[in-house]
Parts: sequence; C-alpha cells; structure tokens
Amino acid sequence: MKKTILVLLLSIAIATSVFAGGASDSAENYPSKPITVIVPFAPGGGSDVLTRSMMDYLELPNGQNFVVVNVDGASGYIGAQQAFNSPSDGYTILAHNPMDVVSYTLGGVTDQELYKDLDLVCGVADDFNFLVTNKDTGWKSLDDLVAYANANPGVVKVGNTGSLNSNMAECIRVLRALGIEDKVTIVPYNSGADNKVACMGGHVQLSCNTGADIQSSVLSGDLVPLVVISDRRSKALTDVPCTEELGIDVVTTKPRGFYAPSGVDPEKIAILKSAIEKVCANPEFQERVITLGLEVNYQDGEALQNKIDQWVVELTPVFDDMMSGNV
Amino acid sequence: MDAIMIGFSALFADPMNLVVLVFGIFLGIVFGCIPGLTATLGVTLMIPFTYTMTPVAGLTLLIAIYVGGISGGLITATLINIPGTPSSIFTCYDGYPMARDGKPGAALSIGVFASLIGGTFSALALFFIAPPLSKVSLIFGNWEYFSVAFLGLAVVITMASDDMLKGLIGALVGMVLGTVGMDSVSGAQRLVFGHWQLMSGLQSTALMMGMFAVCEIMIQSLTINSQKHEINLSKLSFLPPIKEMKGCLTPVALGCLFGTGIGILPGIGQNAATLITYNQSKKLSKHPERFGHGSPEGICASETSNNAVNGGALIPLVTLGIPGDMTTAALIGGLMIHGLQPGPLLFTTNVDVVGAIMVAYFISNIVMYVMELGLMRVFVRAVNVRRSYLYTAILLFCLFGAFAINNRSFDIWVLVISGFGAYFLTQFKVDLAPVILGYILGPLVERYFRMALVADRGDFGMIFTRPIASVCFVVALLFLVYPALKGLLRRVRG
Repeated sequence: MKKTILVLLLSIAIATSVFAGGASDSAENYPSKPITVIVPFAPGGGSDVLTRSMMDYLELPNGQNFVVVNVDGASGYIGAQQAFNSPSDGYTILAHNPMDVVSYTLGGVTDQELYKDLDLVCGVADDFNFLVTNKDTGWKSLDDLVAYANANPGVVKVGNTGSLNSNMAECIRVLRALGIEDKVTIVPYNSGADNKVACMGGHVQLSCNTGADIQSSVLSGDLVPLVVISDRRSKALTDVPCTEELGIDVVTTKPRGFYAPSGVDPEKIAILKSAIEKVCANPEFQERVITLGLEVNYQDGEALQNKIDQWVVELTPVFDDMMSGNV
Repeated sequence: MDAIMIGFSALFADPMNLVVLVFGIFLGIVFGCIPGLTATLGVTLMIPFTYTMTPVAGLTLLIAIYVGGISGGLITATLINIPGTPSSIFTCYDGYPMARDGKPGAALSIGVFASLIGGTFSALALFFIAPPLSKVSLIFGNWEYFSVAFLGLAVVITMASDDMLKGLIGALVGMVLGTVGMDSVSGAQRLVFGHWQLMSGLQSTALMMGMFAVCEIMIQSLTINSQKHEINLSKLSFLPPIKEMKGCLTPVALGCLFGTGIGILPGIGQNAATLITYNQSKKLSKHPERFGHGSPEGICASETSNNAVNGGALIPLVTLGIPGDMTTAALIGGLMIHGLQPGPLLFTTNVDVVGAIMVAYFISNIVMYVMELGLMRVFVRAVNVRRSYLYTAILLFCLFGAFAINNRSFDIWVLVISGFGAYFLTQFKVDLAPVILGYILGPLVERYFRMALVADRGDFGMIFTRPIASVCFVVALLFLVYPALKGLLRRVRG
C-alpha cells in the first residue's frame, strides 16, 4: 500500500515538472506561466511596494501575472547577480534601479558590468535625490547653506545613503558645483531611513536622500528640502527648485525599471514592454505611485540605457576620486 | 488618548479584524514554535497577502503574527532545548533545565506570563508616552549607539566568566562571522574570498538556527536511544506559578525597560535586547549561580525583554514613520501600499489606522497569553513523538526556513555549515552564547564606532561632548576593569 502511494506521488511529481517545462519556449504563447520578478530588497520596501502595486493593473496575455521573489542583500547586488545567472527564457526578470546597478561596477563590488550585461527592458518611475536640511538650521535655500559652510568650514555634516554608490557621487558633484566640498564631511548611513533619522535628529545638518524616504517628513515640516537633483521639478514636491534651473550641471535622476538576463527573445521583451507601458499610462496607477514619493515615467529600455551610459561617463571620475580616497 | 478610542472603534468596527487577529496569533505561534520557521519568516511570507486587505486588517495580521511568533519561540526552547525563533535562544539556558527537572508546566507558564508582562508594558508605553519616547530615537546618534552596544559587550563579559579563555575564543569567532560581507561604511569586501554569494554576509536566521537547532539535534542524536524523553505536564492553571517566581521582579522590570528602550532604537534588535537583559539580570540576581541551570529569573529576563521590543519598535513607527526593526519596516510597506504616508502626519490624517495599530498590539498580547496556555497540551503531545521523527521534521523545517527567509539556496549551506561548525566548537567545550554575542554586538560596535569617527573626522574626544554616550562608555570601562582591579586588590592585601 505504501509503495503504491509513493509511486503515485512520484509520477505526479514527474508529470508536473514535464508539463511545466514543456510549453514555455515559443514567443507565441508567452507567457504561459507566471513571470518571476526578482526584487532585490526586503518585502515592504519601496521597490517591493512599487512592483506589487503594478501587479494590480498588469494585463499579460493568457491571464498571467508577475510573481515577486524578494532576494535581499548587499544593497541589491545579490538579487541582481541572481537574475543575471537565471535562464534567459523570459520567465525571470529583475526590478531594480539602474543607478544602483551602475554603482556595483563603478564602486568595485563586482568586475562584471552588470548594467551592460543585463538588458534594460524599460524604466517605470523616477525617484530623485533631494538635499534636505533639518528645520532647526533655518536654511531656506542653497545660498544659506553655502554661506554657512563657507563661514564655518568643517562644521557641516552631510548624511548619505550608502557608500561608494551613485547617491554619494551625485551628492559630491553638487557639493563641488557649490564649491563647498572641502568644507563639509560626508557620513555614509546604512539605509535611507537611517539617513533621514540622522537628519531629523540633527546629527547631520544636511542629508542627500531620495524623495521616497523624505516625503512624509517634508510634508510634516520636520525636514526642509533645498534642491532636487534633476532636470525638472518633482511632481510630489513642486515647490523645490531643481538643479537644472539653478544652473548646476548635475541632473542624474534615479529611475526604477526592469532588467532581463541578456539573450531573451526580443518578441517576449516586446510583450512585456507593451503590458508595462499600459500600466504606466493608467492614471490610477500614477496616483498611487505619487504617494510612494515617486513619479511614473515610462521610458523605453534603449533610450534609458543611452541616458545611463552618458551618466556613467559623468560619474566615473567622481567614483575614481572616491575609490582612491580623495574625498 | 483619542487615538486609542478611535483605534478601538476602528478595530472592532469590522469583525473580520478580530478574526484576522486571532488567526494571526495562531499562525505566529505555529511559526514561532517550530525551529526554522521564525517570526520574521511568518511576517515576510504574509506581507503580500496583506496588500489586498484593508489597511487595518492587514496591519493587524502582521502585528499578531509577530507577537505570536516572538513568544511562541519559548515553547520548543523549553521543551527540547531548541529555540523556535532566534530571540528565544536565552530561554533555552533556563527553560530546558527546569523542564528536565520535572517542571515543564511551570517553566512554560513562567515564560508565557513573562511574555505577557513584557508585551503589555511596552503596549502601555506605546499608549501613553509614545511621543516623548520617540524623541529618544532622534537623540541617539552614532556615538550613543556605539557606547550602548559597547556597554552590552562589556556587560556580557560576565557570561564568559566560567572559563574566560574559551569565552573569548567564542566571542571572537562570533565577531569574525559578523564581519563577513560588504562593509557598509567603506564599501570594502571582507572575508568574501571572491565569492559573490558571500557579499551580503551570513544570513543571521540561517546562522543562528544552524548553531542552535542543527547543532543541538546532532548532540542529542548521540544519546537518542538511551534517553527517556516523555514529558508530562502537571496541572496547568491560567495564573502564573507565583511560588516559583521568587526574585523574578528584577529581571521582569529590567526586561520591560531594556526591551522597550532597545525597541525604540532602530537597528539594535530583539536578539541584542535579550542578550543584554539576560546578563544584566544575572549580574543583579541574588542567585547568579542558578542562571543556566533552570533559574525562573533567566526565563523571565529573556521572555520579558524580547516581547517588550515589539511594542518599543512600534513607538518610532507611529510617531515618526521610522522603522524600529525588520518587522516594523514591513508595516511601513503595508501602510504605503494603501497610499498612507507613514510619518508624523499620520496621526492627523489617518488616526484610525494609527490607533488600530496600537490597540491591535495590546490585544494581541492578551490573546497570545490565553491561546498559548490553552494550546500547551497540544505542543507537549507534538514533542512527545519519537525523537527520530521529531528531529527529522525539525531539520526539514530548518532547511525550508533557511531558504524561504530570502529565497536563496545559498542560505541552506550557511545553516548546515554553521551547524557542523557549532558542533565542532561544543566538542571543545566552547559555549555558544559568547559566539552569538560576538556575532550580534561586534558588528554594531564596529559600524557605529567607525561612522562616528568618520563624522567627527577621526576625533575620538568628541564622545565626551555627548552625555549619554560618555556615561555608557565610562560604565562599560568600569565593567571591564573591575574584575582585574578586584584581583589586584586581593593580591595586594594577601
């Protein structure tokens, strides 16, 4: 009796694995099963919430949808590498921030150029880095900051999210443009939340942090934003001037998008793109994304990749300085 | 105060919320009491389901799982010396010896009662003094974090006092394990040997379950046929065995204060709270020699503090939108998915949700107490099956849990190898408690020390401009120097 059950179970297991693997190869009936999306951060984080909100509106052929798999670790690197190692059958993709992926290579985490070795499917939303200050400093604009930093060299501390990454590089570029890089000290915090807490508690006077992290504290008046690093103002905080209008030539935003392992059938990618583009055009989805502190900005993978390659050229010398300890 | 009344009505408005709460507690206890399936895993797995619920129901579910899970860990810790969840590691040291001495019922009741006290204390703190307390998380900068963690490290030196050399060896092994991976201050790679999987360090749940579950199963398997394992619960009442709890007031009080206090500080965590409370209670106890041999005080210290952390971590969440630990970080995700902005404004814009979070936490503790006592006989029956079956099942759950916590098969290797490594250490009579201490506190001390130095351009003297930090630092130094001074004095006199 026991043996019969065992044999029965085994044959069911074999049958399911055969059927699951059998029908997935052509682009005609793609996707024939759910698509795994690796989110390289913990559940409940900004990337996780964005991807899961998207699933509510996503309409893929055959009634399929995404399945989120969270693989956290090393600022998103572990998940990115896991996606890179996945089969390129179109059933595993990666939800990530291209500027983080760029940082892994420029910051020396890996020798591989993941931002080129993975295929950028599309950009979905933009996040921005803001320079914010604690309300107690009384600074209302960048001029106040510059005046204070020049009058009190060595006093101002600037919180940053992470170390040896594009956040830090952009922060340094803005400080350079303002001419106060040598007069302040940059302190790397573990996460955007820690960075925000340090600024709210006055442990750093200035903080370079993303809109998603600071939005609620800005609305409550605890933090005062001085500038947003971008070529346009952010839709969530429209009163904050952007670097472009202030004549600072640092306009790197922080797009969020999807990557696929290289070699996925272009027709499959096209199916994914059109489904995602449709979600991004949905006003209800756009509303939801604004409450996350981001704004929807659908960009085709190729166009976004060109933009990023340009940013990499701008960022590389700053990374070289950081790596050699010159900042 | 208004928030609490509104919270009550928001929670009770929909009977579904209460169903969800009871279900969450049950699920939490199941996850908590099975080694390998931890409270954190329970929350992680349920987050996606909460996205489709109402905000109040979803957050209630997560809180209930967490409360049930953290407390549930004490059951297997007490009955079979394997912590169900890492925060119950220190419950093993006293719960199991007490159960082995023929008092499993008393040991469990004390543990569950201590959980209730710890949870309720922090719930009251959350109700009545959350806004002023939340300021604490803003006052704490790098120097304060450094000195508090350093103080913890100095206090727990007492743990190694039986055999100083082996204790230090253990602590150093732990610290080395804690350094693996990408360093967050400088971005440097440490002890990764060019292997990308090691870049994120060793997953802490996998490591701790390996050290305490896999290793313990190996040890117990040696004598699996020669022992009699039957556990018999004597009479159980819903009131705690007050007679057994002599001298427990101090550890309970310490657990409430340290647990809530450490919960408020983002980034220190449950395990550090139990560690520090346990050792501080031992230091202050009239019978420190009983710790580790079935002392009710030890159970109280461990279980009060780990449950008090839950409420403490909710304080900065509801007042400032700052996560106090991993689970509250998940709660923030639960708020955001419903378009609610976690932060100071939440009190004005969505006071019903804030109130419901606080009330759900309070009620969860009471439901947890009743349910755990009610289910006690079921748990005992479950661990009374043949040990060869039980251990196989636990190992399977550990393997599953190690994978599921972060969806990586690499973590299974971390579990297995740390199990063998821990067995190796125990064969040299190296206690595992100092290893855990080094692993948890070592990286905290290091990270905050270095961040503080970076911020102050390498000037260590700046610590003395910060009152909390300098007091903690000096006290820690006294703890470290005191035993040496005592020995010196004795020699001078003699």
